[in-house]
Amino acid sequence: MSYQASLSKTVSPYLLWFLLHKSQTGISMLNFQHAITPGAGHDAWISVLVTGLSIHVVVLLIFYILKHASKGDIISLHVQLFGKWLGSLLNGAFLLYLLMLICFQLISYSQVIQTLVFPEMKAWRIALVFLLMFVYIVRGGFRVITGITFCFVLIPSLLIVTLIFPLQYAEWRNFLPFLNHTLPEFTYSASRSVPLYMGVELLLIYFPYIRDNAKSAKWAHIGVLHTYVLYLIIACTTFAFYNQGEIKHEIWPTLSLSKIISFTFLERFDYFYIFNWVFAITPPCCIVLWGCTRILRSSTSLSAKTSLWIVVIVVFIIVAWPYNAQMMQVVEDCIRYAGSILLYGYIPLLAVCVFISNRLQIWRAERAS
Amino acid sequence: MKPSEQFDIHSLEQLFSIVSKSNDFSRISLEIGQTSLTVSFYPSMSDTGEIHDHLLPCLHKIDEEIQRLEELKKWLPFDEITCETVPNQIANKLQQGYVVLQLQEARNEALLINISHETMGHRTSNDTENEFSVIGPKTGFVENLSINLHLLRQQIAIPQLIFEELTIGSLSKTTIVVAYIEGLTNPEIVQTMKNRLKGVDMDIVYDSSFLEQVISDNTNTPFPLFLTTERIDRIAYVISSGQIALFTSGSPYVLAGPSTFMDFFISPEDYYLNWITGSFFRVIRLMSVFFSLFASPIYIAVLTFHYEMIPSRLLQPIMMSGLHVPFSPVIEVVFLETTIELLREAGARLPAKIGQTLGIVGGIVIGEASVQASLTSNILLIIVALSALASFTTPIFKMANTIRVLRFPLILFSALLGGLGIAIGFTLLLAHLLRLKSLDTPYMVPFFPFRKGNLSDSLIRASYQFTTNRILYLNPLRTKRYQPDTKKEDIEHDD
Repeated sequence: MSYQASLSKTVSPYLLWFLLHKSQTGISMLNFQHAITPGAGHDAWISVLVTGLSIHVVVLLIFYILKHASKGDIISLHVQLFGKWLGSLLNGAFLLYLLMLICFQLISYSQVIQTLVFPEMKAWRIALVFLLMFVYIVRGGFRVITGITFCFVLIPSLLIVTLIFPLQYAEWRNFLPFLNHTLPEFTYSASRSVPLYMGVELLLIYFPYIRDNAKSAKWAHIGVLHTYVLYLIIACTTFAFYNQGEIKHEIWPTLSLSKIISFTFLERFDYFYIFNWVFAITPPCCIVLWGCTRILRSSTSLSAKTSLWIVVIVVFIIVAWPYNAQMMQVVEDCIRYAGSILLYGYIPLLAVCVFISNRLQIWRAERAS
Repeated sequence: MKPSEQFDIHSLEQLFSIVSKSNDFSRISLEIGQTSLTVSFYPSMSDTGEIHDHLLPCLHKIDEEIQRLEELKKWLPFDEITCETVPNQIANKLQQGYVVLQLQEARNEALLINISHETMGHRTSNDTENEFSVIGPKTGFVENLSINLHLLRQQIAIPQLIFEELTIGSLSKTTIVVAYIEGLTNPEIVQTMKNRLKGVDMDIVYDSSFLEQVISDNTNTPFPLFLTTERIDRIAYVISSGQIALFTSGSPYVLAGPSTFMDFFISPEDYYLNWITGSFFRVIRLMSVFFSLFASPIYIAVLTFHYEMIPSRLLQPIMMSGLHVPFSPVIEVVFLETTIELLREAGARLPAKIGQTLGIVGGIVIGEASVQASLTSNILLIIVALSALASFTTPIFKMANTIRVLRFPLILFSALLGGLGIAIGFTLLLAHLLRLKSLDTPYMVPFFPFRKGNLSDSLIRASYQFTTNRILYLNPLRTKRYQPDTKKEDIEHDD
């Protein structure tokens, strides 16, 4: 039996679909095609699919871990497994990871804005506006965050229809010859597509806020499925529209795809894409901020309001720093390594720890009786 | 929290010493046999004709000894006669126009006869004045509470329709009536509403809208959290779908709650037209909300920051119309929007006859002249006028106001950050709406929390076959409105 927060704070199980899907699809959706092609080239979509499938396993592990946590989240589990000191240390490490996630989203998006829309605008202004908005949303509580997530899955989904325009110029022979890459090349692409699926680990924090959470695994898997189907649609459209040589020169292929769209009353449809990404990054950032607040609140004696403002100020200081392309590359690599270690290293390790501690408990109980 | 000081009456001597200071109070002493009887009433509140034609002659006819007030009852031809000893109660009834009878022997007791003149001073016409519809009933609620209750009972003719009375207001003693259907409305909601009302401490309740702000869940919001309407059909619909109505004595507007965002964009006419036209007009109304909110912000954003978005063939007319305008688009928009708001506000305050003139002066003279004087561009004038027009399509006046007010923060956002500002403004607006609650139920139902059963009657108004559910989120005790598949035996189907 897994722990659940008080009924008035929880959200319906089906919303786990939207929460999980939206916490994965953030800023990485804009440029992942560019990142994955150096490996498996036109076959890289297979790597995206395989990485997506592996996330199902991660979700299974997370559900297994959380079933045995006393308060249903990783914060309590760390303390429960590793004691107060080590547990708090691990919680601190998780907090740092979450901070990295939100900073990465904001830095990348402000780079997009600075490059394509407002070259003059300083990063701190963009960060300030975004963070104040996030504070307003997060102060509303988890239900409001979920509501925003739900709406912002539906609204940007309307843009998928506009992919019809680039598909009119699709060159399907770009996908041939089929499967002519080596395993290391596929592995390279797969490792580069991990950032696409980062965000699934947030489930470790908001799990107690899902009603009937033990039975909600179905919705989590639907969410993962939704994510990689979406990525496959975008990746395939991009590969059909651009050849491999062109993708190397496109920094944000998803955005440049939309430049082909124009109407008699509207010349540059790509602006809609750019500003639509406000809706895309808001939910993951809000969930992460909320998660940071939860960790700070449970490990220190700070109130929800104070801890939120502390996190926001830290994020603001990091994001307001002017980053250049090399630094961005370093940031991206850091995020990717951290995410890969967490998803494929730490979560399985945690599952093993939970398994051992369970066995120990059973063994002790048997010996006592 | 300490409640405010009440105007309590402790004894009948105190009461009569206070009221006799007032010139509209009248007191008559009569000799009946051995005892003397005093008749006290307010001629301004009671039906004086009734008193002189029936009450006084009846009292004169009495030819036996009266020992107790109870004995008087059989002599008097009135249906509402009660014996009362509590001074506060007697004072309240006296204020409502009851006639107070007292015997010399029993000074602490009073006989109360209901001869109040309820309809005095009220308007007789009850046409809907602000929520007009072409099809459907034209009668609306009036200022008189008992007429309003009568009108509603004509629509819902089952004994389960309950009216619960409360009194609010230390000075006005306004009667508030909570109306719901027993066995249909969720009792929790009724209880929440009653608890809210019990907590209210005011001196005068001027109007139901006043009460709305006091009992609403969140006072820091431009959105109305309770539906305010003067239409009878609307209140009957609201009650039948599991919501509560709140009547306020002296107010032609009835509150209904818990309300959702969509309730404010629904017109009763949607249901009187067939579902295709009804849905079409509802969609038009919802689109006009978006247009009204975002048209001028988008104009500012595009012309200030993203002029690449305009196709070259459209660029020419836009540039030509703005060629001689010396201001930036932001100043232009703020200037025109403020002018429209001025016109609207002036139109609302002026008598109807002058209002006509104002429309001509404002709409034609100012608009035309400002373009001639190159203060604004033609295209902006069209956009602002259209968005003002669009904001008037919202059926509920309070929501229409909200939409007009919200345009200004969005203009500010787009002036500062262009398209990014509009996206952020939209997100904030959505977050605000998601945070709102009306009587503890979310405001954005059925979109979030998502309720499939009520979607058929939200963005569109589906055919009656599909709108059989009451508002499921409110957990009404009976969820089905009616059985949709009525057999139409006479229709022959071609197979």
